[in-house]
Amino acid sequence: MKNAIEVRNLTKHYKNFSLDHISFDVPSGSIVGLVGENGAGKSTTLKAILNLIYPEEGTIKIFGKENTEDSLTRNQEIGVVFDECMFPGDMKLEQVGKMLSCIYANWDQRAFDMYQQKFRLPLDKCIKDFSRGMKMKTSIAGALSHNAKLLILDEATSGLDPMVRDEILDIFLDFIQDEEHSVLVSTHIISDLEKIADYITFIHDGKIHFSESKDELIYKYGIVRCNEKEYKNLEDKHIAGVKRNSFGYEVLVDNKPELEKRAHSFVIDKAGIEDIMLFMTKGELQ
Amino acid sequence: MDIMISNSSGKPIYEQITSQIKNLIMTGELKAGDPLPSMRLLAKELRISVITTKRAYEDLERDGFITTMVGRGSFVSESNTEIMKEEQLRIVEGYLTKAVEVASRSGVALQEMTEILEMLYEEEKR
Amino acid sequence: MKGLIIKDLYSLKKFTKSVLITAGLMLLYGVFLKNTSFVSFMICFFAMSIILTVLGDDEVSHWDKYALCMPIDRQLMVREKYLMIILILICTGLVSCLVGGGMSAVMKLDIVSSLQMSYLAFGMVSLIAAIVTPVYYKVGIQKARYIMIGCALVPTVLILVIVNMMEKSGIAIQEDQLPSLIMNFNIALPVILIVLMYISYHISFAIYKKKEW
Repeated sequence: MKNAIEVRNLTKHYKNFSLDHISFDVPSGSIVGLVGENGAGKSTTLKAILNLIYPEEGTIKIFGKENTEDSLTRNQEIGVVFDECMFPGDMKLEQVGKMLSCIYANWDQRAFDMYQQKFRLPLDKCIKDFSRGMKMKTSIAGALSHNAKLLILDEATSGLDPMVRDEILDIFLDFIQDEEHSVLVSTHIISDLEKIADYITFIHDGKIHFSESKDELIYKYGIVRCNEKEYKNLEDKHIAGVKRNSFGYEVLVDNKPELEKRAHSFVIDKAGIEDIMLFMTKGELQ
Repeated sequence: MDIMISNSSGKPIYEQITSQIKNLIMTGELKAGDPLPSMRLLAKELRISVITTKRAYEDLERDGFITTMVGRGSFVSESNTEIMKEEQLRIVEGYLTKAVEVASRSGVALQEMTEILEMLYEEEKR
Repeated sequence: MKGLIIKDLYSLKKFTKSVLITAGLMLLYGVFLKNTSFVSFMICFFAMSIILTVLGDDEVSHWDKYALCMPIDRQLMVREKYLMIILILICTGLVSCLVGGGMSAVMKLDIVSSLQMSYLAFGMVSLIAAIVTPVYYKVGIQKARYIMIGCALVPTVLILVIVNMMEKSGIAIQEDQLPSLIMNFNIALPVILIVLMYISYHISFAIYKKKEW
């Protein structure tokens, strides 16, 4: 199957914020990073995908079916992790496992136990006494122990230390060894995704600014540092953002390979995802 | 099979993978029929995107170095190393022909061309 | 449904200590004041605390948002909650009868009036639960608590006012009318409660269906 998730023209209005005709795909077998600053609309988009909110316009398909149909069967195959652990605080890990085993038809207790050991989660404490990192790991263990095909994570790694985040990245890479598996991660921590994401979808102010293969982005975007004359020589259509300081211009261009081949006196640097985001949202001439 | 990729090299990662695997095949470290790791496994080990490894493998297959069979994986092609080298040489000749055409039209001398070639080799080594 | 029930039962476990302590205190109170009706009443009203806990815990841990991402639909969520509420009501009702009736038997007091008290209390608490639950779904646990207190106070005030008015206007209930009044009440109550719970459930579900997180 081609796409695990297809979002088309998703529109949702709130008092102070709107999602404006959001469209993007999560191809099967890929890791898609949904990035954007706080308040950009990432969580709202994910909530719409999960049917927690009702959009005014647009369609969302998961595994080829509209997300409003047949949610019971479909949710068996989706693992969700939010930015907080929603398991009842008074339960212990074993009880959480028991509860989940009654809810999910394909519950895999062995996998859950394996994650408990791997994450060193305590068996004798109540969830409410877990540290934040342990709580997240518990949620992740729950999401990965019922043979899910699609993982959706909403800011699940914010507030975790780099070691834990690294462990989790490894788990994603393991998860998509199966090409029927897909991962959609929303985060404002770019460095996590910079390495392993296959596609980056950038959302800002309720709109999608780009949704492309990460390799393409890194390959074609560059930051040119030059003076005013050189800046005027750059083709307008390839300028994606500009910053000006007292020493010159910093220009985000989308034709780095071409520019590198031509003879030039300015400096072109690689542009990271964060750079691209910053230039696109803040980069304008003063 | 050792593959080292550098994030700071100017070369796109898929190109780094392609050249390193080509090298391994040319020098005989990877022999005809040897299996290559799956695209996904390679992506996981190198901690890069599957799209990158997929592109690298597709390029290698296009250039005749490997064959990929659905469900079985990727293997080093049966081709003779000699034949492969010849094929690569032919491709290089093709590019050089174009370069020479442009050069002679614009009055670039052979010595300048040689200097440029040397400089490019140096850069490539890095 | 089973998984949800397991979760709610586990969250009730923390009540065991306070239940036993309260029960002990009630018993002492009842024994000293020779008033078993009070005990029967209080046990039933304890049900309200338990119900509010079961509802409130979910809100505190944002459980609904997570649960709806699992193979659980909104109808199941509401149905399971009502099932728990009814179970809690029935269990506390039975305990109230047993404890109240038992105490009456031991202290050689009127068992029937004690059981009647339990039944009355059970009716009142069920009525309050039927009203408070849709309120919880609409505006959350905090406001639901206030409404609950209001619901408990309003009937008390009303009864006092009515009794006062009746005394003032000279209407008195004949002593012999009382048993048949009580009998009618006893028969009518289950029917009224079933109807109320049914309506309450449908209102709750209508609210929950449209809810967004």
